Amino acid sequence: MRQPQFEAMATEELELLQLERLQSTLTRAFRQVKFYRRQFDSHGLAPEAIRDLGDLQRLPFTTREDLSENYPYGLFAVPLRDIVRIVSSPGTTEKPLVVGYTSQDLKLWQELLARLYTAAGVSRDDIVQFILPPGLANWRRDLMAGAEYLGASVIPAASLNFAKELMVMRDYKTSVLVTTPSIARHLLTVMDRLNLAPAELSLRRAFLVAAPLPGELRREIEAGLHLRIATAYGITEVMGPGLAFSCEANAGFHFCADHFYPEIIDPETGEALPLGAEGELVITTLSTVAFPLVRFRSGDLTSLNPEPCACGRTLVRLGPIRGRVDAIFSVGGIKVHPDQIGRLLKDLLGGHLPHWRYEVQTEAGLESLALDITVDEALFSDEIKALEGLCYRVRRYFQDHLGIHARITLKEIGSGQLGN
Amino acid sequence: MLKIRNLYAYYGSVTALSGVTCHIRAGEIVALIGANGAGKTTLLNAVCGLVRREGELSFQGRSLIGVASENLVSLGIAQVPEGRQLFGPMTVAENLELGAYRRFRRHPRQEIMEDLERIYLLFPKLRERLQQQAGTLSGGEQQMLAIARALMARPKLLLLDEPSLGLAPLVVETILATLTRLREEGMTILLVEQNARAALKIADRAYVLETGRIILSGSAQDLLADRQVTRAYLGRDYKEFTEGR
Repeated sequence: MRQPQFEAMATEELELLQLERLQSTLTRAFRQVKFYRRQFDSHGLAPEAIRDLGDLQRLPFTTREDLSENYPYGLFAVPLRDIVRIVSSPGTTEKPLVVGYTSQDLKLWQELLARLYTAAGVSRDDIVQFILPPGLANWRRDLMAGAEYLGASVIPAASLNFAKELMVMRDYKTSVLVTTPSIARHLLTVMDRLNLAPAELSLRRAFLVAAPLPGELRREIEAGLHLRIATAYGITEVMGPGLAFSCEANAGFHFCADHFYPEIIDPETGEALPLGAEGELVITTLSTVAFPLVRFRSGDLTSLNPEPCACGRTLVRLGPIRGRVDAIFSVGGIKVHPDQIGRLLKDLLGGHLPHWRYEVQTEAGLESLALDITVDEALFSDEIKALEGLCYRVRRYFQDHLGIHARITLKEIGSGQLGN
Repeated sequence: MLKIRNLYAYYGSVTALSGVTCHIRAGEIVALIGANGAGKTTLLNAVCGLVRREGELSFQGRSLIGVASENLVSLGIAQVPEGRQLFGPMTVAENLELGAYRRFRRHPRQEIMEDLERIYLLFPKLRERLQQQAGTLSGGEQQMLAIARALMARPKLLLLDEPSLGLAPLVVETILATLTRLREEGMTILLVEQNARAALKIADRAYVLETGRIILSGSAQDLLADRQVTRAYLGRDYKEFTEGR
């Protein structure tokens, strides 16, 4: 355990710590962020009204739409000159997602990443290789910085092809692989093709991020690569991957409840649900300075388990992520909202939006977005070259804007039950 | 050791603290920093029951609400008030003996003599001045005597209000070094300081108070580096500190 004084804290002590941090976060948010002041005022509340952790339920939620409406700096709680890092990602709304960090925030975040690596059995003696696609650039940077902070030897993602990555893995004696579940699965196929046996590698651990890992896939990868898998849960809005992590007991994700306060709510009614019930995860930051979030709706469906864990940590555990409350889906770990697809197509095609339909396809483990576009009169050309050009442009556009791989199929009008 | 939950404090109709929650673990030095009038001293006074207060307050698991301030010493809490409040016409020795008044009846004289020896080790200056009137000591010596007097009660928790007030930087350093030594010996200290930089240098953790609420907390090291804290509370102090050399 990296910080046993917090990770295995007695519940009563933790609750006092949470309360004092919550109260100071709410006071700062109320005094320094107009949006939160309006939110409090609209409910006739002042920060003083939150006298225990349960009172948090009286405050309204913060949603991704709120973040979008306050783009870019509206929710920052410190002046820009105190911000040392501004992280932008495509987000899932009309506007990009912008998160600011003070130097204190970065320190906290590094410490949380070190916590997660330690729980995964990674230490400064490890050689850690990263294979994460450009669309997960933020996660890649975060996880790399965390491994460096821990003192491990880091091999950054080189965007080589997978055969080359495997060669590096073998020759450099990589002991820990950090990647997505789908890429890990794909590596098995490539190893097969190359006749590379797992015994030729020095891997002991894989740290798989950015997408859920079904039990069957986990077993397949563990058996195929001869290693043990650790996972983590995080969302870009709240410090990325450092939010919750799996431990040696592999029994859910320990939620860093000393720095973030979790709630589970009924996504329909917004009512808080008792511990153990499944619902939407709502997160309130307790320590972050630049970008406090009060009751942020993650959109992820899960549950909280307060039972003590075999590993000795007392931090409450998140159950598996069972799905989303909204239409957001993941392509190889990158979150996409269906509306974004329509918006991107319309942008690219000069305001014209043809019928389209999508599906996430998996081929040898790798996920891509299969996009069917109906060629209507506005798009039609009798030149194959022009139509090929259209496919190419759409593919490039999705790669550039969302960092995902799209496979485009053009359909004739009336060729299928294309909706939208 | 000390747990404070939703503490309110009032001066007449004025609310000086509005819902403060914080804690101090055994063996820690915790600093309270903030601007003038933020509520730092009020918080100490509220712990001691010197102002009208509401909320939850417990020391080693025992509620302090309803405990009269004069009984705090026997629980193990001693306060060193701002402005030292020594008995000026009395000698240093007499002031120290007064600090142990609770113990004279129940404890052997020998034990108190030992404590005095310990204190002379901590503050050698005081031994030289034993027969001098407290009112004739320098500011720094008076502060030392005030701390020493509080220590004579053998407290577990020491509450200090502005120990650096009006003292030259070198003297401040001596006093703070003494507090660090006390912590090493196991003492728990809650320190209110206007001189935030000096306080953060020796504290383990700190809370930043602003108009009666805690707005920031963290390790002293983190807060020393925090730009908002630097701007709000460290700027002037730092200048004073360096120019005084």
